[in-house]
Amino acid sequence: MLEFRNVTKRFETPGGQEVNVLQDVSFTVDDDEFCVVVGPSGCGKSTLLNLALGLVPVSEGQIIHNGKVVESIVSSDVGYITQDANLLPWSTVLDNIMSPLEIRGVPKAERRAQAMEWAEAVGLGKFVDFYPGQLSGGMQKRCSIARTMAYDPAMIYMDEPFGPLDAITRTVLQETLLNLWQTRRKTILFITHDLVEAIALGDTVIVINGQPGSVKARIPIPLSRPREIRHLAADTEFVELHTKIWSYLEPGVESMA
Amino acid sequence: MSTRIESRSTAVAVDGEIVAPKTSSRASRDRKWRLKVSIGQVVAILAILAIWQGISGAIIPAYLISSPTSVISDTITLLQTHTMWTDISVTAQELILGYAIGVVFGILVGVLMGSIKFLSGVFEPIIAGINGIPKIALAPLFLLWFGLGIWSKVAQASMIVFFVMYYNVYMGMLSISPMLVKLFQVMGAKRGYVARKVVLPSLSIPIFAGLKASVPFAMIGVIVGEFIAADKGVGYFVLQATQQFDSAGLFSGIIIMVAMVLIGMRIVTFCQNRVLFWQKQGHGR
Ligand SMILES: Nc1ncnc2c1ncn2[C@@H]1O[C@H](COP(=O)(O)OP(=O)(O)OP(=O)(O)O)[C@@H](O)[C@H]1O
Ligand SMILES: [Mg+2]
Repeated sequence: MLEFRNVTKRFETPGGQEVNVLQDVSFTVDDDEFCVVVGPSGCGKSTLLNLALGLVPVSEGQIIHNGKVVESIVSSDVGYITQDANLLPWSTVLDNIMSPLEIRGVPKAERRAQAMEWAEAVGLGKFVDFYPGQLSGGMQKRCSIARTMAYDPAMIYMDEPFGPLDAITRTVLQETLLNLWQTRRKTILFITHDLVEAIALGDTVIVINGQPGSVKARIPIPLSRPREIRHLAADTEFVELHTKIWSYLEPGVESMA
Repeated sequence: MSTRIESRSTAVAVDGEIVAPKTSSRASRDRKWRLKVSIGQVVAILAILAIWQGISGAIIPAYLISSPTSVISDTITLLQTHTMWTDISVTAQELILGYAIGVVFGILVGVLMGSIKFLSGVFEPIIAGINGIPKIALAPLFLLWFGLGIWSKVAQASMIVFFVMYYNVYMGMLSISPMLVKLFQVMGAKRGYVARKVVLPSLSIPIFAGLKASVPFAMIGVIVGEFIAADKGVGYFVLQATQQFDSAGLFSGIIIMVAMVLIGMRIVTFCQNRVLFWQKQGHGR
């Protein structure tokens, strides 16, 4: 379980002043929940994940991860798919996917098998011997998804994992993710700026907006599961949710124009 | 690590079929260009040698600048003497030892300073201050400390190499992506794993930059040491030749030094190609 309690984050600007990036953010993600955070670019979504994992310290408030206050880097059975792929440029796709398994001491043959399975799942089966520099941006991102999924952490933080992908690849991977989550139950905190994706995947959608970013709404998504992602757009309930969430995003979008 | 531009010369189809790159015409254009450059280089070198040969004796006295033909014949004769090979082996020893010691300490101190903020805070200005010393001015001091033998030259060379390596490695440490390191910590990696798999490979480019730049600097250190006081070595030989107005011998000595530096560079390049293979595979090839 993850809990944000009145978290505020300030960064120092290049001019030397302090600016609030997140303001008084509170929410909880329950065990096995699929929680999606939506918000416009620059509202502090990536910062939110970095805070949750203890990569940067909070300025005010507290974050509680599985009952413990986050004070340093969280590394217990969690996965983080960062916005940039963050692969090792000197390791092949397969070695990149295997590295967390290697860290966990998984025997070599098993490690290979697990990594291959996920390379296939994200469509990189034929590229396992490539170096990241030989992959496109979207392929690098898929490799980083496979790297996290292959070691199967109980809690996964994802920062726009399907952002740079085309509609078809994205839908396939969304379905893969949903299947996985349904069979293996995990706690997922998923960042996106795609409203359709948010509603299609989440149990809950948290809308963050504004400068500084703050929680504007916490909307449960009552759509039944398993969901047919490809046909959701025609669903009346879906359309209502879409309109509703859109209204919380609107002011921020306008002020950015 | 960041997103890259997706236009590539090596085309890769979406369904995973690897399509051969359409570059045959481009490759032949590249080859023609390289040939043209090579021919240009040979012509330029021959022209310089011809001018040198022409003015030697005719415009400038031969004892000052010698001439290509006498330098070549002198070098060949010299390489058949036992003393020349003793000189070469002494200089090579000093060069290798000075280089190795400077490299090891440069990397060590660079890594330490890059990983411990307190250390770099305290020592950065001190190291910068010491680096401000024209290091050649220390040669008499090294002679005093380490005597006439090879060690005063080794000290001189390693002193110079140290700073080249140190600055490369220290800057390399500062350029390691903190996000990549933190991400591996989230995955559960311990210090040793991060050091082996993230930090060391990240440093490979600055380390090789330092290794390459250091070879000629090590030679400068060794030769300066031999100029100050020695009874063996290529630098000592050159000094002797100069004092005897043997300009052909002087140039031969210089040619031998250049050859030694080039061999050193080749060895480093060879290692670099084996270690940095992943770097060649990038988009911008
Ligand atoms: N290290 C930092 N120092 C100063 N400001 C920062 C730092 N990191 C982030 N910020 C600021 O925090 C704000 C939010 O950044 P963040 O990366 O969290 O946005 P985001 O919601 O993830 O945006 P996007 O959807 O574009 O990825 C931005 O205004 C950014 O300039
Ligand atoms: Mg972001």
